[in-house]
Amino acid sequence: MTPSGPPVLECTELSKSYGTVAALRGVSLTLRAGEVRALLGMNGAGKSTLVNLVCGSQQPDSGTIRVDGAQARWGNPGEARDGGIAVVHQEFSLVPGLSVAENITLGRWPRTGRLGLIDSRALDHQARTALEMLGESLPLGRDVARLPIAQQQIVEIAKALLAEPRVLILDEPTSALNATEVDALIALLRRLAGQGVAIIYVSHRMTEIPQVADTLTVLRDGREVRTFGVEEATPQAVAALIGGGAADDGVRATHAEASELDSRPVVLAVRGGRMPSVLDQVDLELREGEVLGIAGLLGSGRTELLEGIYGIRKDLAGSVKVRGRAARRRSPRSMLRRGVGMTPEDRKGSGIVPMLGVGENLLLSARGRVIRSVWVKHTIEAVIARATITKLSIATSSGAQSIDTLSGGNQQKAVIGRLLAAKMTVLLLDEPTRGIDVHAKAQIYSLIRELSAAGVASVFVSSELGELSEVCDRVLVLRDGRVVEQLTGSEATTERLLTLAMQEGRP
Amino acid sequence: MTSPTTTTEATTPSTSPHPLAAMAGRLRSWDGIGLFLVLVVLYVALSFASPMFLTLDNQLNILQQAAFFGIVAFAMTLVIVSGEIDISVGSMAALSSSLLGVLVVNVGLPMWVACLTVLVSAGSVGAFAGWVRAAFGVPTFIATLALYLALRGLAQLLTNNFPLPIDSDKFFYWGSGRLFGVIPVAAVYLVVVFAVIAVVARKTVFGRSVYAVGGNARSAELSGIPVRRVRIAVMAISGVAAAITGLLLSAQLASGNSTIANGLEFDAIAATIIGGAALSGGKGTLLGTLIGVVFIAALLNGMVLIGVNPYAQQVVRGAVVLVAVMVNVARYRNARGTA
Repeated sequence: MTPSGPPVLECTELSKSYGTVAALRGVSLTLRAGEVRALLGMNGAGKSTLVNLVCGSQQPDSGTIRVDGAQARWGNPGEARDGGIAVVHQEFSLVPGLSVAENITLGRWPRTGRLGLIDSRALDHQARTALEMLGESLPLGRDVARLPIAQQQIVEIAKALLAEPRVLILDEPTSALNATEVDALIALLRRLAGQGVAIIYVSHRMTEIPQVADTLTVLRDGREVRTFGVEEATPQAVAALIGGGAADDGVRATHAEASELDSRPVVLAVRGGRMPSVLDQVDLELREGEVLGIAGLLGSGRTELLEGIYGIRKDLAGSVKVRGRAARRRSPRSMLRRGVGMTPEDRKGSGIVPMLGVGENLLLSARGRVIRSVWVKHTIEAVIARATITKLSIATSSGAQSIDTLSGGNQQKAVIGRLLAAKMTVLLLDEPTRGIDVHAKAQIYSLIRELSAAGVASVFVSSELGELSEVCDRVLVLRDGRVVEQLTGSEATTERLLTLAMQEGRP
Repeated sequence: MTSPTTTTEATTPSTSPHPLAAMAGRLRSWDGIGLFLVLVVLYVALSFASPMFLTLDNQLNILQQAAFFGIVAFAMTLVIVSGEIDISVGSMAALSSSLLGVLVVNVGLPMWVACLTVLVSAGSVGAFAGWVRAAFGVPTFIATLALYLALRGLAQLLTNNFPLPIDSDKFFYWGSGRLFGVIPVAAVYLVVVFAVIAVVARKTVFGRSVYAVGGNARSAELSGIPVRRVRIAVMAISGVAAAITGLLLSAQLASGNSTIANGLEFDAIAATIIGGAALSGGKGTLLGTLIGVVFIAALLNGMVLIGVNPYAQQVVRGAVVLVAVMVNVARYRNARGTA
């Protein structure tokens, strides 16, 4: 099944570092015409870096890229596109308000004669040709925002095909699609491969891989672990390669014993949590001082669950109790009053207030709660800010330093610190270690454990499964909006979590 | 001017050195120092251009003139820092003046009751605009654009577009008289309103919340700050400030008048922008706006003294605002880029 023939894309010994962090270390990859290569790995394994280098968004520190035997060196994605590389990113780049045809030909609208008006006939023709390559027909004049997601995905791919690429890269193309749509997409990609387009397919979903890919490459810690034919790949073997097993050796002795945990009072309970087409009968119980992990892939409903509990989303049905008392009509304000705080996944967009100092960022929730006054109490605030900065070892010159000058890890610590300064006893932490360096991650793990020893309970959501086993007393595995398994901290090895999270509910 | 830090607004470190040294340090890192120098240059230039300019009498005139848009500009600073805008202030001032005329002349209410009614009404209309923003997500630009038209129309409707003469020496004194025969009363209001809003912005939880909402509303919401209430409150404050201006103008003209305060929104927003507030929200100081207010008032006064063609004056005003915005944006981008 593996196509043979001249290689279309040859990457040799590609390396890339960001500051002191090596994101990619000497990765080589060869792709032949008509080959579909699945690219797998955990977050931070180097998948996106590799994609970014190939599509010209970033330049490698060392190593070469060849397309059809000719060495390529791209300054930007536009040059890569002209060089035969097209990418469909996970986040769509469609312009709502423009038609399907206008979106497919975006940036390359054909013009007529001297006046430079848009030649709508040529435009429609180009768009139709691109769609025909996919064997699809869509209403060309329809506003793209009014198409269902699956068809928007097709518009994205058609847009990528307009430049007649030799290599097409798809980053998590199925994360927003349902089962039937996934099947249709896979059939479409096989058809494209049949026309000689080489495809790189980045995905987490194990069941899709054998259907779509010829070969697969597993990355871990910026290195290539193994490349092999898809027929040799079993889900267990692949999960083991992705996880690497090494991370599971250091299971902490601090984990609470299950029997001991059960004797503690429940601080947060969700019964029959439902959210239309997101969550289905989710039960959750968090005990005093417990660290409860939630494992799940993107789209499994983990963020929605936290947002529902915290009252950001109002469509979580079912009962939520804080220390045994029903919490109805929830909002961030009412939850903070009950001692429950949340740190959002999107640190820049929803966590920090970039124009304020670190000190003010730390005190946003404490004001009016811990410090009950209409006036800003500078002295008390300074004391609290300094104590929090010291406790969390936030690297800042003082509370006055502007928070957007800090590193991501220190910003994250400040966002957690905001809840501690407001004396929260239940923390909902959504991806607290996303995009921060290893050292800061370790600091956040030990902070959460320390807080746990002091009686503060946390719900810890992470897509880096390795860290769940390190930090959590128990782990819930969430898949397609359901709790599929509950493991104790020591049972929750990366491999086991990965296997559980990746299996698919459908037969 | 290039310093990205916002030391002036941050929590005071408790290891305080000598107060004077601390003040000097603040001054050095103060964003508005460049603006202050520009103001100094303008003063020097104008005093050379006209010997009249730097006299005490003229400076007091400038302060009185400044009061007519400065009070609104201070409230506007809160509005803009919170990420909103209020372009209905001119119409709101006209409506306030007309309403006062009707209440005093036609209804015969005592002056102080009428004034209080006007202030409360204006605050309510402002709060309404804030509520439309907070509850329906209608941008305040649109909401206050609608009010810009509607309130002016309402003012004209109330008065039939004729001035309603208000015959009261007391009212005249409290609006455009001079304390001890020297200091314009309006200037006193200007200073008082500045002090109050500056303290609110710096020293109250509400004031700091305005900055948090403008800097990142989502984050503020998740941190438990009542974002809706903050938005409603700043718009209400802006309405009240416009009403104060309307009352001052009524006193000066001794009538309730629906044609006053045309272009008030321009001078108020211009002063705020010149003072360094970011239209995107989260950034701006009252001290900066104060300098912006004095700058505009001095510029207008100076141009009249020199005898600049009134049409040319408008061109200059427009150009000044454009340059101020360009400088602000460039400065902000630099600060971001180095971060």
